Amino acid sequence: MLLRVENLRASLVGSEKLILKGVNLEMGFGEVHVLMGPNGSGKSTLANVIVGNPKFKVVSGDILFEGESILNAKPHERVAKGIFMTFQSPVEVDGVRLKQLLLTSYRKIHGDDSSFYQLEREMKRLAEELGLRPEFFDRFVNVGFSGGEKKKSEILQASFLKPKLLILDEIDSGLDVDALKLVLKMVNALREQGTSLLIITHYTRILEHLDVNKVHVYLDGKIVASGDKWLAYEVEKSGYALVGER
Amino acid sequence: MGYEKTLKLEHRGMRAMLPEVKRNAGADLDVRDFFPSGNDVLDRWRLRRFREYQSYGFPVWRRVGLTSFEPPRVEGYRGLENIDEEGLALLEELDFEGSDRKFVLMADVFSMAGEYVVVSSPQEKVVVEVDQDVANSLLDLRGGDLTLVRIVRRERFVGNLRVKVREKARFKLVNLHLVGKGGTSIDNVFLDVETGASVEVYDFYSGGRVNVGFLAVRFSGEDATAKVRPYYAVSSGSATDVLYQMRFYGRRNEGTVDSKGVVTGESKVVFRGVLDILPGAKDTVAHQRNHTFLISGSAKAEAIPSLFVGENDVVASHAHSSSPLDETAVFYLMTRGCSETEARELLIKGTFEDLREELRNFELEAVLDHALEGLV
Ligand SMILES: Nc1ncnc2c1ncn2[C@@H]1O[C@H](COP(=O)(O)OP(=O)(O)O)[C@@H](O)[C@H]1O
Ligand SMILES: [Mg+2]
Repeated sequence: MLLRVENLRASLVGSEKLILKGVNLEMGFGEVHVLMGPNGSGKSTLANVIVGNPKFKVVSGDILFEGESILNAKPHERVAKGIFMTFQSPVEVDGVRLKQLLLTSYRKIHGDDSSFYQLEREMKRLAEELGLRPEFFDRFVNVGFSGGEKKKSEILQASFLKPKLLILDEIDSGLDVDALKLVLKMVNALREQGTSLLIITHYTRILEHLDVNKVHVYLDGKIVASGDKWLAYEVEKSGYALVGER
Repeated sequence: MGYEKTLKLEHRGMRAMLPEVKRNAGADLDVRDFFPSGNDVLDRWRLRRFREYQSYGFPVWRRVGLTSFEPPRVEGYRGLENIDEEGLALLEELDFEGSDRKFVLMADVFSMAGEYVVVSSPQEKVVVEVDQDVANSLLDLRGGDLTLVRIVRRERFVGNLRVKVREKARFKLVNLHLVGKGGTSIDNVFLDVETGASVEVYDFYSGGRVNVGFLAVRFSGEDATAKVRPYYAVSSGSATDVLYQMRFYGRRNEGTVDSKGVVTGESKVVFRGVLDILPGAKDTVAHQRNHTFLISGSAKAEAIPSLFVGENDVVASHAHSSSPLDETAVFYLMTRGCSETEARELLIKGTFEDLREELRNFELEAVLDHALEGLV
């Protein structure tokens, strides 16, 4: 098993109010899972708790990655194990250039084996695929990026770092049709290379471009229904509440 | 002839009262420290200023904890010895108060380094390392495009730099203060900017127990621009007090001060910004911005903005703020593989990235990186 989330309860640090209220989720190697749920139900919180955001505290339950609990691992240790999340709203990091961050990250995760030249070539290739100019790498991370550029930068970083588990938190929100196609092409390429995907989304349009193993419906801090991709279409037709009630 | 005061006390018939600066009657330089320059015209001017110098004690600056000042050892005169009558007239025209008149006068009378230069070359880049404790320079930029990198890497320092940027000339100043740990540095820079000229300044402060900076831009003509970017890295119990002044006389001038810095440990920064738009300075654009990152709980930042607007048709603003490092950015960097310490280091260094980019042109990034070591 790649990822096992066991009865996970979590709240904001300094708050008693649970946001995650007993999440259970299992993902095998190479699988693609889709998580759908209404705004405010706690999807981003789940993603953030999996990557170790210190704003949240785990009250009970566990997260196992490749069979080992990662609850005590810091965010940078989790990414070194192969867990990567693209942010729903990526943060502006003033003064840090994208290229500098990519090189630093890559060496942290994969060591110094690749030459600067190889890494730069790979960056260029990814930028071209996403329709980004090479100067994009010289900009400060997310500073002044358009919504679309932010999402492209996130998927570019994921592709460059090649994680085992990639959590995509609403990567498809705010993207136009053309940009979405480019981004999903890259997601597919990662999947073909063996990356497992946990895709948080509101839209079924992603399913037209991607084979998925499982769809989960997420309501008020937990998974209330799981099934194949037809569950997603049902949600689209009848709404989250009705599907959740079954 | 009067000199340019740091705060003008009269506006629209109102008269402001400033509290008298407390002064200290400790040991001071005297006539035995007055060395002739070999230039009689200059020395007559120096003697006049020496008399004024003797009429004040050293200021007591409580904000930065400077209660007494130990004067430097003077071992001769160097500075403006090649100046002529024309240069002296310019010196008078560029007379100013600075952070305190006493120190401006000290550098005028007792300098041991500096020069008087008239420049008009199409394009020139110069790197100067100031190699004495007291320095005084006068630059007359008659045209063309000059970049001056001035490095003050000393235990103690009192200095003046006056620059006349004449019509349509372009001037860039990269001014680096790298003061020794227990040291005291007091630097006063005065720029007079004529019609159509443009000025760009990178001003960096680090080190010292007391590090005091003053930089003024006087817009005496029209249609000129000045962009000033102050940076400060304040650590190890240092107190840094910087004052940026822009005074607008003519019309359609545009001046911005865009400042940022980092304060760690038990250190303190005082940021003073003075925007002074005189009657008749129509269509002035004047902006001032300052942000301080407070890295420790005991680090302090104080902002003292002054905005005087004596003319209606102007755009002016100032914004001062301070905050700890952005924790969401720290987390973001950690999800990209950085440890918490590395993430903070990246963000702190990032504060100075535009300055580093500028220094890269002179292969001087290492100077900055060295100054930033141990900040985290
Ligand atoms: N940093 C935060 N501060 C306050 N409330 C938060 C914070 N993060 C999440 N929440 C709250 O937790 C709940 C779940 O939010 P979130 O995980 O973002 O939901 P979703 O991603 O499903 O839209 C919401 O009620 C939200 O207001
Ligand atoms: Mg969300």
